[in-house]
Amino acid sequence: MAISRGTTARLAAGLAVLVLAAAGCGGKNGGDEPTDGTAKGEPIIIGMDEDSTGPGASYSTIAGKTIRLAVQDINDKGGVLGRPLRLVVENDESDPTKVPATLQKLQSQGAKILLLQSGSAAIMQAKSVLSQIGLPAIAPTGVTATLVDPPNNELIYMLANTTADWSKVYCGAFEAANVKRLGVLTDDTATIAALNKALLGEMDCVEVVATEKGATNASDLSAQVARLKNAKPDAVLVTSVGGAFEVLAQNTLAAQMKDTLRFSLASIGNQPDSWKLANPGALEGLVFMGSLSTDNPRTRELIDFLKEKNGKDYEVTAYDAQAWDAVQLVKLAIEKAGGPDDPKKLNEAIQSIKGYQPTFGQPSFTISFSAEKHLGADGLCGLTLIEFGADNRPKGPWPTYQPPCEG
Amino acid sequence: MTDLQLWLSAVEMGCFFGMLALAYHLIYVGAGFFNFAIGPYAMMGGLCTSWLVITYDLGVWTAATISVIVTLILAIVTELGVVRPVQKRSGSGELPALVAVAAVLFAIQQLAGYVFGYPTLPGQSLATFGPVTIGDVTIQPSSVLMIVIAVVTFVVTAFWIRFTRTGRLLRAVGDSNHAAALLGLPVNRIRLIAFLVAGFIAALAGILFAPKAGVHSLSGLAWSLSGFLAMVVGGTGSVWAPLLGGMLLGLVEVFLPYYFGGQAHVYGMLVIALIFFAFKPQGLFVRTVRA
Repeated sequence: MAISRGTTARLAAGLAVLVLAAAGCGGKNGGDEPTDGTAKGEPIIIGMDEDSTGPGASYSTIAGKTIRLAVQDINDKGGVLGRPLRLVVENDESDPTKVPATLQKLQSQGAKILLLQSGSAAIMQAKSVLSQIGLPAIAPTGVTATLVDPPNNELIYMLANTTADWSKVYCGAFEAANVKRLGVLTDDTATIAALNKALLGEMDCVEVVATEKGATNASDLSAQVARLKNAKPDAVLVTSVGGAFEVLAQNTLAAQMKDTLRFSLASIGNQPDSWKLANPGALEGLVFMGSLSTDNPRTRELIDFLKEKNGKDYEVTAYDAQAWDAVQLVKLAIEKAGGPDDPKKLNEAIQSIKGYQPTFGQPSFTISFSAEKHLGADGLCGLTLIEFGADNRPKGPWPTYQPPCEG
Repeated sequence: MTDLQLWLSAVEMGCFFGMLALAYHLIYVGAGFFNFAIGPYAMMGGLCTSWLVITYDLGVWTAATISVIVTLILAIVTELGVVRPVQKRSGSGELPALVAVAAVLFAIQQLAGYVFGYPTLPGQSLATFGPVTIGDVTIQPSSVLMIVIAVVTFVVTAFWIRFTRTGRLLRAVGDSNHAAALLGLPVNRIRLIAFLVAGFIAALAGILFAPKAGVHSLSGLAWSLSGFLAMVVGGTGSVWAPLLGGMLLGLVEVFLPYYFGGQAHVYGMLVIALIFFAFKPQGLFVRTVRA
């Protein structure tokens, strides 16, 4: 049956409109925005820079979803000072060049405080922008120490132990496992480049015998792993933002270096969706830097809450816990400041928080801030080394070594 | 270059690039046109299969069948809704149709992102057997399938082109659309068959390759470029030329990083593209015509 030119053109035009409409409608934010719940009054705007589509999406979307749940929970219980919290969200795609415009857009939408849920390289760029726009910010899942170091650190805060502490924990682990030669397999993101510089620079407890890099969207890492194998390391550390790269790395290492001890950062351990990407058994024996302990009663409460909201099969991660605590700290700061409208008072209120008991870390782990201390973790107790089992799921604390609670 | 594991990776990558290049080749031979939407077709095959299995708990073969049908529909829409009308309006000019199909590439990616989301999904293996270890080499079931099915695809396609009436018509139409039309050959039907067969091969390639490193909505662009380069390198002189081009790129993808470091394959691809576009744009295999 011949189709007339006019009909074909109309079909094409109609399809184009549908596709453009679909493209325009989707993909911007990580989820449904919270409602005002039972809280009344003028909303308090919280701005969130959430990388929902870039290289940090694998962990940012997890934290973003829990931030939304935390806001909704607060609003359902009457809000902050009787007022609802309202979230406005933008996406910098972990691209440092997009950060200034993203943060300024959040400010223009009335944000009083910011949550920076993006890659570390982007958050680094955010520091100078915060000084210009004068808003305090919390990076819930930030782990790079330089994010809260001077200059331009007056308005930015992080919760968890940084890579400076990670290096102490890894060194303790390497000593316990008699690892003297380390191979590193890393991705090519700016975030991980900065992290490697900070982390590996502090680890003089081992000799790094080979560092191999692969593209974040690589389809094959067998060459890089073969080069690592040639260097004969005692263990391999994979440093990446997680997601498909980390899984490909672990799949390849499991195939080509199956008898070599493997370590990872926090990424893959806190990205349950990535576990399904791995070949059966490929993650067995992998030790990653975690921070959830079911000995912590607040962790258990959060797990119950999130399983109720997300389904009983939901795997709670450190990203969830840090996201939850970030929102609670925002609430606490607003209450201490008596309101959100004076950024200077709000900033001082954050700095006055002492001994906050978070939903991650060991039971005795606390978070405190001050004018000089913008990193919340009080001690190494926020960290724990967790091992994967044969079913590609975390099976529990690594029996060889755990960070001590003091120090 | 004695590491067999690396050779296995290179052959697997080569087979994937080769199948994409074959899809390009068929549309070029049958319609005289470079269809840059081949990469998104492959992406749609892999991503739709994964999404159906994960979201709706479908069996992998059912999901794969649905995904192939979806991809075939996209191929039909590309030809009937975009390429053919644009080519009719632009007369002999090729650029408007190329631009239009580039837009189709991005449109399919955005549509996939909207429907399936942006995170990477795990590829679904069609194989039910476990990995095989031979000496130091671990062979994943997805690698076996990729290589075997790629070879079968090339064999079947070569047979079809050479020994069937439709295959011979495909070559005739590709040589000259105008002459074929004057001779009363069913040009439009042959073009559509070319798009359908190419779409099928691309979808199959995507389904087979997805288990290696997962698949996401933006995978299509990189796959389009790799497939196109493999076709350029191999040439259009033989149905096996895309496989040769794919294998060459597979060797570059694996062995250059091994000898020169992590990102060397990117520079290697660039050098190969420059060399072939500048000095041998017709590729390694050139169809010769007796005068």
